[in-house]
Amino acid sequence: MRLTLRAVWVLYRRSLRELVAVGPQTLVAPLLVPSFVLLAYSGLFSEVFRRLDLHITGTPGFGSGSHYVQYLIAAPIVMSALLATASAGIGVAVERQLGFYDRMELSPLGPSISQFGRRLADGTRIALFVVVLSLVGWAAGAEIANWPLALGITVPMAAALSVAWGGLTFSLCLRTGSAEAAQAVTPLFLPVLFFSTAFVPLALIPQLLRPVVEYNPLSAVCDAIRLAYSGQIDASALLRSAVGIPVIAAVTQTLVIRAERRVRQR
Amino acid sequence: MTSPAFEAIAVTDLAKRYPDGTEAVHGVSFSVDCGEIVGLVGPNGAGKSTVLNMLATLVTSTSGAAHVFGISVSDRAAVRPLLGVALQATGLDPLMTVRDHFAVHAALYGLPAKAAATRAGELLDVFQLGPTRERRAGELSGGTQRRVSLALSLLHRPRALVFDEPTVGLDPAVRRGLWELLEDLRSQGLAVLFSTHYMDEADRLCQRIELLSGGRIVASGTPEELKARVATGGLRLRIRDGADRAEAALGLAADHGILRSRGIPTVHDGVIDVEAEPGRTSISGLISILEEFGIEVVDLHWREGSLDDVFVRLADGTADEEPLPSVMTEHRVLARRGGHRRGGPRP
Repeated sequence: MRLTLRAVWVLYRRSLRELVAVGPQTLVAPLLVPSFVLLAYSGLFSEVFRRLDLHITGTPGFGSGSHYVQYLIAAPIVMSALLATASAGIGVAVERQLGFYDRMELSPLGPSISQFGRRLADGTRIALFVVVLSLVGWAAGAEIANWPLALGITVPMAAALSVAWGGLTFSLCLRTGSAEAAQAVTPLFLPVLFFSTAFVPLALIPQLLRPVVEYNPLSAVCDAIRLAYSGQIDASALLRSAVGIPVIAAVTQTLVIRAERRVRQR
Repeated sequence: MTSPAFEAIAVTDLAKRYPDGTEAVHGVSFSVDCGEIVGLVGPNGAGKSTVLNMLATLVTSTSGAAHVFGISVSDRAAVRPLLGVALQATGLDPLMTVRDHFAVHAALYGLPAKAAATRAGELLDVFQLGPTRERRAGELSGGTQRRVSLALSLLHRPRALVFDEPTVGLDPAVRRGLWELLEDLRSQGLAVLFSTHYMDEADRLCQRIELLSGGRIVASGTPEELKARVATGGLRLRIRDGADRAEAALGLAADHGILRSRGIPTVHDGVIDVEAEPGRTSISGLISILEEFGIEVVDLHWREGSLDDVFVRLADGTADEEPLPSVMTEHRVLARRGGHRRGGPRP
């Protein structure tokens, strides 16, 4: 076990160094796009919601005198965590092309350890993204009542979501050995995010779609993060996230295991 | 150290059909003992890499069995520490330094950090990689990357080595250095299985050669046995004059069963090359016939057989099934004959 942890640590550091070596371009999609969404959407819709004079009890951003950015702040963080999953897929595709994946496959620990190290590095990167996006949200007018609480809940949750969701991109890229597959599959999160409470509260969603939105695991994650930025702990949302994220991980990890088997049968 | 007679690798009726239906390997069987170097040779697409990948636990076989020190390769976790593998692709991360590669490899094989560092230092010296220690793999030449890959395969002190074309891209000096290293490892009792396209390499290093073609082993044996089997080499005669009559003379010799040749003799610049079979050619009879045609033979010797000939003949299935006598060592059977000329028929 100690040796396995050491291997994970070494591979984790390797992935971090790789991120530094590749340079700032790895930050563009998962940081700039969500920042743009945060600034553009909050500017665009805050006035709309203010004129509609919508008040939803217990919902940040929809109370008296509250700014929509207070509600929106969870969406770009979740979006960033999901966009960052592309790098895990691209990474394994490149490893397959280089033969580095085979090198790890040849070892007694196998490639799963490397995958874990790489995805932990992605989680670390997401911690940086969360801090930057929080600062962007704060600059845009969001009131962050308790920074340690907000980051303490958001960072691990966003990292866990990224690691869990990342299995989808990872499995496809592993199976195909193609980095382009990451580009094809990464945007799939967008409809899932739109059918969640990321952008508007459940009360404003058409009745027909409410069951989908309510049971969407991303809704729970967004709700928990949003309340944490308002200085509250939403036990229900945290519990639903604690169930939802492992369910996503179980599904995507099954795909990863199947992809690994497929690679061995090549 | 393991007993030299101990069977390290055993492959029995191994077969591989890829998901697209391609039959890459059909019922291949062979073994490698400890203290033995066995070469897998064959044309491109013969199935060499597939066999090696199945042994290395990277690819699952369709049928048959492969064992490493008695452990089935299906038990990956047990087999992998026993094997040192270097594949065709060096498998290096271009952004990682050589030192980082050793650290990652040591961690993947569960080596204690201090022991791994000591071992890495030894291997860096052996492979002359010391100056590259802090350089990224992507900055290294192809040959140096291959040396790093080979050094990594030895880091965890494996008991058997599986190398896929290990000397591709290496300059002659490094290549010879690797040969010496492999011979040294063999003498320490390691079993070595490697594929190569270089027949001189196989001839120099291998105790046995398995020749694959079309996914099947078409020949197996020591380099000497294989060369004898296809009667490689041939007869080279240097003549002073009468080249214009040589073809007719050789034709007559063949008609009388004096000369048994596999190919068409060539006559060029006073030299006749005949792909003759040593045990089936009467040297004295051939010289007599040539002299009868007024052709003076000044020099005659057997050209030593090479594995290149074996490769070409056996890989395309043109070799005789019947083993032929082994007369391969180059030896001069006639240094120089007197310039006397017998009268005789002229064509």
